[in-house]
Amino acid sequence: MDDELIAAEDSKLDGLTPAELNARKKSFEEEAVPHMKLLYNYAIRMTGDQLEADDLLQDTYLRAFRFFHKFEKGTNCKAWLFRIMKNCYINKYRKNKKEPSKVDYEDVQNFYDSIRDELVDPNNLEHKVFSNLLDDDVMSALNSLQDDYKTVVILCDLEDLSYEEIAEFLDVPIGTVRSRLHRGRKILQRKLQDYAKQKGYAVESEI
Amino acid sequence: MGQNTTAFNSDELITSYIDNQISDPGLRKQVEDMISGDAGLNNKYRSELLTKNLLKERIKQSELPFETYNKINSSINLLIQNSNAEAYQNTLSFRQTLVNTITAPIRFGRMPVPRYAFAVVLLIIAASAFYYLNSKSSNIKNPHVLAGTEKSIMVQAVNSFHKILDGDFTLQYKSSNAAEVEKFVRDNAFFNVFVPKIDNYILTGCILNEYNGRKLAHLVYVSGDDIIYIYQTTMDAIVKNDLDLPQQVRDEIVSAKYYMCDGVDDNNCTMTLWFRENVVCASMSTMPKQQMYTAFTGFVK
Repeated sequence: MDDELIAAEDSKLDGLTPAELNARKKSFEEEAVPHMKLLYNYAIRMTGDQLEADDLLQDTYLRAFRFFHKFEKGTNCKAWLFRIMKNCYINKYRKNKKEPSKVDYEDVQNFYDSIRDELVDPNNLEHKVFSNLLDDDVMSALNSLQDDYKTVVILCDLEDLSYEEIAEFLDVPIGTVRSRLHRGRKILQRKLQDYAKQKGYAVESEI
Repeated sequence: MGQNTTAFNSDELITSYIDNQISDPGLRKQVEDMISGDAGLNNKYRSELLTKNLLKERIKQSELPFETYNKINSSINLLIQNSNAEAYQNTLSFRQTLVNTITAPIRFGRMPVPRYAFAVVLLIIAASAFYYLNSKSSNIKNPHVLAGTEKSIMVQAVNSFHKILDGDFTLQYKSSNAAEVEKFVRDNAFFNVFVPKIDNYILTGCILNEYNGRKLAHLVYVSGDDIIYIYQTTMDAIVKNDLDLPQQVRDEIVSAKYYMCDGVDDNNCTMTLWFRENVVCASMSTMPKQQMYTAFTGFVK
């Protein structure tokens, strides 16, 4: 179905005059290209691999160019591009990895419920856990989050998108964004504590 | 529901507060009072804030590799080119009509002369006049410099080089110490400039200015009366279209690692362009191309 859609759009491109194509390219360069760095960073964090991120970014931009006539000028181009990237990611890249099954999602939920009320001394967290972790440890912990949580954490904490923009991008209510963010950070915090424990750094918690 | 729900909602309110997503001043005050009045909630707030800040500090933004940007740009151009080929086929009949029109003969007495002959004669006259008028005024041959606008990195490099030669650009920061020049540029232009060591040349300093909101750094090296000048700016300037570098030049830099040309001004100076990490560099020199090649390969290792 996806290949048929792309073929249909390519055929419409053939019907445009050279002047119309150049006008589309100029408009595309003004509206869409400035967001390329932001989307590249998102692609790197979702795929965890530079080559895959390059491919994902290329797929996204080619698709965006083909369907650029469907983008409503004056609306949020960044959010539109992110949605295209999300769909490309789901269609191509997530299918190549193990799909999160219903059982896995329940496991994550149960895990969150088990740690929800855990209290950690923030001074301890800062001086004993976070200060001893390498950047790679932090990246690994983020990559190990389930996609739904990882996406909101990346978009909010790294890409500085608002809850509204994230909700629009994911097509979920703002409350869901907030809830996933809270849980995602909590799970991440626990993973970082576990990394620190593995490295032999004492982590104290108070209950 | 009940107490667990209240604790659950407080936690998420704290999340919203951390992310500055509570616009209601009354609710913000309520959350602030909760955090300051309850040790457990205070710990949760500080722990979550630490986690958020840790991500921001430790996971750096990656620069968009120029090869990636170039690859995407080329793919879109190819898509357009393939579409244009289709459009060209559809206009063939118009082209055929045009060919017929210009080859149809006009009769001078008994002698038929094709109409395009008159266009050729006019063209020869115009070309001769153009050559005569311009033969002493310009030696610029490089097509990218000839066609470039003021936004062009190549045109800017030529103009800045001439200003330095004419004494119109004076050094803002004088130093022969590469580390000091790097620091000056980093502190004032906010990017990591490339300050090479060039055999037989002494670094004299740099000039900073701005175009279209983009910081530009100009380095000057001298050896007797000879100068090597290097113009630098961030790759982002091209990606965001604030400055221009022709696609053909970019393609050559990506494949051959540099682009070198002469015929960029009336003195036949040599220009070399290359990328260094995320900086675009354009050097100008009065040296002939072959000599500049030797110097360039020496300093850009």
